[in-house]
Amino acid sequence: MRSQLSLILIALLLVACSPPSDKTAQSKSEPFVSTYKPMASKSTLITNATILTGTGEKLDNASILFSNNKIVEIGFDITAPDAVVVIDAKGRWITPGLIDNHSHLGVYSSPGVSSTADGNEMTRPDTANVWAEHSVWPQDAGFNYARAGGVTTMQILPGSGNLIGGRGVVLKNVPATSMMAMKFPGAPHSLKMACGENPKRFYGGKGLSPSTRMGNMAGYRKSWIEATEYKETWDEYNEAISNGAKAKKPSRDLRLETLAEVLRGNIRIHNHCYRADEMLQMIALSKEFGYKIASFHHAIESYKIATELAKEEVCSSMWSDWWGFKLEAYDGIKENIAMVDQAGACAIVHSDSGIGIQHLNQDAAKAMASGNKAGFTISEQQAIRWITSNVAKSLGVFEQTGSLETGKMADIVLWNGNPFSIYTRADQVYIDGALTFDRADPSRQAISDYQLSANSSEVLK
Amino acid sequence: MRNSIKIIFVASVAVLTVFSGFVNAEMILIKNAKIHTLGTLGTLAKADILIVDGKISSVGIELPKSAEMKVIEAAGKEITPGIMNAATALGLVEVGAIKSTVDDESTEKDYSASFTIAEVIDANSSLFAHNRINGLTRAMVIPDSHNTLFAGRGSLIKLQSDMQPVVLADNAVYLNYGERGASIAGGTRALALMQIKEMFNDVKEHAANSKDFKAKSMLKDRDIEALGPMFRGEIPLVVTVHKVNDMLNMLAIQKEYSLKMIFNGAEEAWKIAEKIAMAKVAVLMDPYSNLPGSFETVANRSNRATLLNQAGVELIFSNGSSHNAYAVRLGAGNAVGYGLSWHVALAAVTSTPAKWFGIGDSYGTLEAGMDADLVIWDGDPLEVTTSAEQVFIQGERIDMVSRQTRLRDRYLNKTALPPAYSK
Repeated sequence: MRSQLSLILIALLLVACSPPSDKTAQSKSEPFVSTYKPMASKSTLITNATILTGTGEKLDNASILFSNNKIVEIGFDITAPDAVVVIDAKGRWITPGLIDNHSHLGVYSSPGVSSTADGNEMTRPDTANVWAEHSVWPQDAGFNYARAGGVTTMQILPGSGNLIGGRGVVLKNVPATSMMAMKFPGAPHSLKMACGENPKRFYGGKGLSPSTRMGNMAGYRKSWIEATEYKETWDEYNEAISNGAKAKKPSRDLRLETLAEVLRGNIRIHNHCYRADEMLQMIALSKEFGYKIASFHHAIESYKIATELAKEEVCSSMWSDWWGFKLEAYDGIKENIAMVDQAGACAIVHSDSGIGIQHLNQDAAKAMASGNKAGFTISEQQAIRWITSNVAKSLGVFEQTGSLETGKMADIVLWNGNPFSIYTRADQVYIDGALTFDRADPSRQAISDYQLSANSSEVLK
Repeated sequence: MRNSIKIIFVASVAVLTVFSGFVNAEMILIKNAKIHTLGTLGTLAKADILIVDGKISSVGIELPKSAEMKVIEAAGKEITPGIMNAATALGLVEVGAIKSTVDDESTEKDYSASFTIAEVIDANSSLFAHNRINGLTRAMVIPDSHNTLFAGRGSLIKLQSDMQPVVLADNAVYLNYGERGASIAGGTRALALMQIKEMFNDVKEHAANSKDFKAKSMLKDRDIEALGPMFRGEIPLVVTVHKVNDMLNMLAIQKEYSLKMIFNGAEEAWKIAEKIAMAKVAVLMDPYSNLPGSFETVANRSNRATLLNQAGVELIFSNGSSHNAYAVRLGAGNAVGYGLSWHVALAAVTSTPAKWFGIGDSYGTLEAGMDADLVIWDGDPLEVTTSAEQVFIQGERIDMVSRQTRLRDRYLNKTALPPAYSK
């Protein structure tokens, strides 16, 4: 067991190592700070692989060397240093660790019973005060299945029952006994907002506002007006204090604090929004109050406004083929992701599912193929960005992960073939250089405490 | 692009005889395909299929052509039977969250086994075209009663647009057990099991002596009548059941009454695979489903289809979807990724469900005499990057258009006018 002291030291180191960001977001008083520590790892050289870098390149018969948690070198004639594990990956492929922009693992866990339904604080329409990380149950069996599918990083979001549902959290997909030991060091916080049917259905059904889409919009604006005033009050106070003047300290409000941090540019907006018309209204709303939307989620109709989304530099996180489960999903088409990508907008494949997260590569493949059959020319090296680098950019962690580049976290998947095939499986999954999953080695297949009753050590197979 | 199959009109066809409405035999010859017959011929690397009047007339190498035939050059592409999904609500749902468009769900208690959806399946649903152009030609449409152990009877459809979708009406009976059955029965599996046994006893007594029969269970007369074909083993009983001891209890009932039984779900079936194989019970499952999502699926696992097949259990696949029911073929491909034989996986979405649901003599294999339900694929039929290039249902060459393809084209090819003007 690790001592309390070493945990604190690790935490301090990780904060110190994290990239510079606005001091308000990652201040010394950051609560629930990451205690993540990479698992033990060995310096490893994988040779003869087809490598998709995540930056748009495909390297044939290439090698990758990683050591001390970081990628050291990618190239063709890398000499194996002493005491390095060498893996011949002839016929196999390597990609960056996959990233899911929209997961509820840990907040809607397996087993899916009412005791584990912790994702939607539907007690009022704006719960910007709640943080999804406080619901995350690290024992969710789904984390292990997602890892076997090559997922090394994911954003855990609150549900979409509220207009403003609360903060999301970015996790590294390592087995842990606390959420904080999974928390991606230095990742910005996010805030979940939701358009459309879900909030209006839930609150309207109780005779409360919002019961309509116009009620939705009035609700967002009310919150942002309050947040603007709150921010101004604190800004004035902070300025007075820094000028040496005396000022009465305003009282803290967790909800408005989160919203004010969005207005300061320190928290990223991830906005559940299906319809094209509503997405454009949400962009107008963001301009009214001066914040930026990182990504729309479930953006079923992004293909209708792909040019506008490219111009506004807002990502779309999408499914490859879901449609029709409600009216705002009725216009879903299989070419959505490709049409967004080919318009020059940021396209992301997300799961929102404990099953889908295990097959993000298959969904990217579906979307690529659908696009190509509609007349586009999209290669595997381009499409892999939808589940790696584009996601990392929308989460604000691209400096650390999301592509295979020297100096980045060694988050790496070794596939037993082309990951754009349905028959392909992840052979090995490395997180910060540590072998966290190995299909051939049951001792590297983590299962949750809950699933020990299955009396099988090979449920992931 | 999509239009790479060349249709060559060898000669003018279909001379109408005005007085009788009789149409000359329509003949379509598909040349040079890799054909997965799923029949005695196995897979033919380069062969032809002749379709006459909606049926497969012959399958073989270099079939002779005649002037009356439309010839399709498949150029080495792969052909399989049309795909079947054995558990859908096709024609009973348009938009899931709009309950006025959903007709498979009943909360009624007075109709249980007799509940039938056969006559209200709507072939005009937009889901039909979307699924058929993606390769789905057959499906089971099943009832979902929330408050009765017997959920009702399902029907088998074809996905043509001719407004006569039902191929076989009421050809399977559905029963809930496990956690859901317990909840319906009053909160415990014990009650559910007692009630199921009472119901079967009623059906047995009714079969032995319908004159003096008096029901003791909760079944109504119409339900007992409806259960006759299932009780006689003519149609399958599909039992939704998940964990080991629940399956063992259902196996006991299956044995007592010699039922044709299918387990639906069956996440833990791999643990008793030999017993299930010996009882000749089939398993209906979604190969993507591997999570231990509840306490009755804690031993769920990724390669369970492979383990069941190794033990000799027959497999039928579904994917829990109606809107994307066609994607059941991807479940089959995914199962191959977890070790299942490719041909067994393909059979689980074609010939195996055809056999179990009573249409094995007309659909499910590509052999002479069978309905011409087939798909020309643009790649490996179970691969995720593959799509259906041309679909035939009972010989009808399907127009490969859906509401979704129209939406795509409307926004892909924008003009000076708003998209609303392009149709």
